[in-house]
Amino acid sequence: MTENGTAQHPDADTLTAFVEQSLPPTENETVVAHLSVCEPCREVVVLTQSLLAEPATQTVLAPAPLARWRRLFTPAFGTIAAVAAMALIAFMVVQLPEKHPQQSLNRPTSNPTAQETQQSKATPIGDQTASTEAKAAAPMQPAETQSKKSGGMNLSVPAKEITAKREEPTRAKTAIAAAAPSVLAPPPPPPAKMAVLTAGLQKKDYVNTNFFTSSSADNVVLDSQGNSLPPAPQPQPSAANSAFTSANSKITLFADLPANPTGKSNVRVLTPAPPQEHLGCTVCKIVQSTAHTLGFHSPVRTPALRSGALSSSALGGPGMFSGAIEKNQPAEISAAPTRADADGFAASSSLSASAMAPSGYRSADSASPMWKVAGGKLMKSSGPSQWEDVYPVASSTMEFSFVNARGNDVWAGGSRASMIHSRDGGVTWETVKLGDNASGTIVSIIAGAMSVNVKTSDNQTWSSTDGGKTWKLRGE
Amino acid sequence: MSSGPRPAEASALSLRVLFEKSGGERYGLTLQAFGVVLEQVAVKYVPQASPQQKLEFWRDLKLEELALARACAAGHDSAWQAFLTRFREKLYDIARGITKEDSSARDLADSLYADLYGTSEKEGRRVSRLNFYMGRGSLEGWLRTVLAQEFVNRYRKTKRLVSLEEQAEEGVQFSAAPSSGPASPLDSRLGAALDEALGQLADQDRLVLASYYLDDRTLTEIGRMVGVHESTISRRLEKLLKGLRKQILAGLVSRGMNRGQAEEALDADVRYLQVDVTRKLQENRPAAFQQDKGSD
Repeated sequence: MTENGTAQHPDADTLTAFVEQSLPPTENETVVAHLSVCEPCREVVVLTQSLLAEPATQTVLAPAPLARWRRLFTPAFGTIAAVAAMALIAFMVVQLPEKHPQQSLNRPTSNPTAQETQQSKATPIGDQTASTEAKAAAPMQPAETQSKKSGGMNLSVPAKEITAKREEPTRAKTAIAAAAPSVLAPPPPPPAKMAVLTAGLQKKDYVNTNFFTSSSADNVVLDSQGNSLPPAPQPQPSAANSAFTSANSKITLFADLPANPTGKSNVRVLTPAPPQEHLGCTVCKIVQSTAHTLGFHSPVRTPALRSGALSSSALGGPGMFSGAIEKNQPAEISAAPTRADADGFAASSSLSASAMAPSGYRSADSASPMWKVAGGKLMKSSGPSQWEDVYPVASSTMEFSFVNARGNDVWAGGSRASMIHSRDGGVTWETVKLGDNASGTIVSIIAGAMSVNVKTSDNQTWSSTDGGKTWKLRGE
Repeated sequence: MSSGPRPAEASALSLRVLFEKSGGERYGLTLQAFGVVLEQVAVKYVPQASPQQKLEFWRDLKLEELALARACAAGHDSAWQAFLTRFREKLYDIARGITKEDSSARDLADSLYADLYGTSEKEGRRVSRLNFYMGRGSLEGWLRTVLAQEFVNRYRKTKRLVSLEEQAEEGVQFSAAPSSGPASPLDSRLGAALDEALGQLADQDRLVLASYYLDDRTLTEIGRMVGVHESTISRRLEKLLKGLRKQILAGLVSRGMNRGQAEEALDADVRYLQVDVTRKLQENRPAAFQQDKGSD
């Protein structure tokens, strides 16, 4: 622009640099000042800009600034919070059952009857949840407990239930001492115990008889003195399993059992660890409800069978039942490494990668690269926001103007009706000859499986129906 | 003790580096001729710059395209061959994009070709328009701008010769004579306040308002011109109008109106307004659009 500012027009160089946004800020302001008062220059700028190709990348507005406290809610923060929450839950699930027996061990257990009466008057907060459950089973409570309850506080717990609960830590304590003899002594037959526990019991849906059979080692009938100590309960395989076991043990609450005809609590059921108090824990209720929702009621584990063990055994494949068949296998089959159980899906032919391919599933690795033409060069994305020139050629000989890619089938065209084609995603290229009278710049390529249509800037339309081997000018 | 190359040597060294970067040798340019071209560009745009500032300015130029253009202007065949290979088709495409019509596009592009080649002679040498390319923007962009300027010039020349039928269609024949009767019923203070508010606008705001209301440009076009998103232009227009209204109200109040009167004055029919908004927005407007051909 000349020295008189707005009196004369910016020259073509300055206007070009303004349109291409390569002017220094001060000079840019001068041009804006001129444009604000000069209609012809505005016209020129708009005409020039309208001819520019649309930017390859979409303009993205900068996000509004976030408040400081909202910046905390980043994905990393969410991940950390989730991990912390899971760790807390795991800690509570593992640690809480251990704390309750320790607390109970400090309590005197010599006179359970007096203790029961005392505890029934002032139930600890931790037992209040359990008392709620006991209230739900109120119709089955013995008369003695009912009378106590009617005269006492609402938060009081039925005496027998409390007895059962308080006995559990004691059981845990005594079970450790009696662990050695219990191993030597043969366990009493399960049917007999079931008879004792379910004698006179009306048929109810919530009495889980499977529980008595499956965990019979943990259910022991004691006499009033507790002389016959049961074998120590077997440790649960994992914290998760213990949670599920406690879900089972909830069904066999003591309140569900019939009252002793004598009115005394001389029969106690020792349910498997963990203790009943743990059922009141909110976290465990969540875990328990989740387990029910997910259908994990039964902690029964399926036997570890390799995938395909049953299906291929009839043919003598891997996982055969007969040793004779195994001997008859060819060497290469016998020597084939057995797939780990973790690879069960991969080993199964029905879920192989080839089986999944027609469903449209594409892994991240198989994502097609992106193609574009920039500055007359053919570019291929070699990574996120990384582009590489895949067909380096002197700009004087060819300038690309259009690219069409279908998977690994890539067509690219440029000046002087020149075209190239790659069938392997740009690794190798072959030159495509449209026709002797082809002219203009390629402005459009529409490629199908075998048919290809090409338009040039000279309004020529070339088509091929054999994947680009022969070309025909439309209208001929 | 040697303390590195002297300034003159350093300058020559840098010039050689720039020359190699431009690839001017393959177009037939010499280092000396290229140095003259660079000096010419620096004199035009950064006349007061120090040698170091000049060097930085030269580094930002499109050196390869500058060398090509100047080699073409000097008449080197290899340069013309490269130029035609790269820009022949593009020039027609650009012209077609501007005129939206094939024959006019051919005409426009051919006339520019003639100018680029240099049909006139000065002191026995052809004067090529490529001599005016300074390398600040891309050569293709420069060709686009030159074509657009040529097109606007032609359009403005032909617009002056409007047929009587067209004038009649525009209602010129039947337009009323300028009224010399009583003045506008509107308070003159409104015009003064509006005049003042428009005069205080920033350059870019003035550009946005003029483009939108006078040139009927779309938000997208204005956004491209200013270099922001169209939604930003939309918001800025809204904000500008609010600000203008507020300023006019304040101007009216400062001129003795109360708030109610000022609001009432703003509700007046704009057709009675005596302010020439176009003139005000286009203040300091150049008398005529000058071609840069030969003047730059």
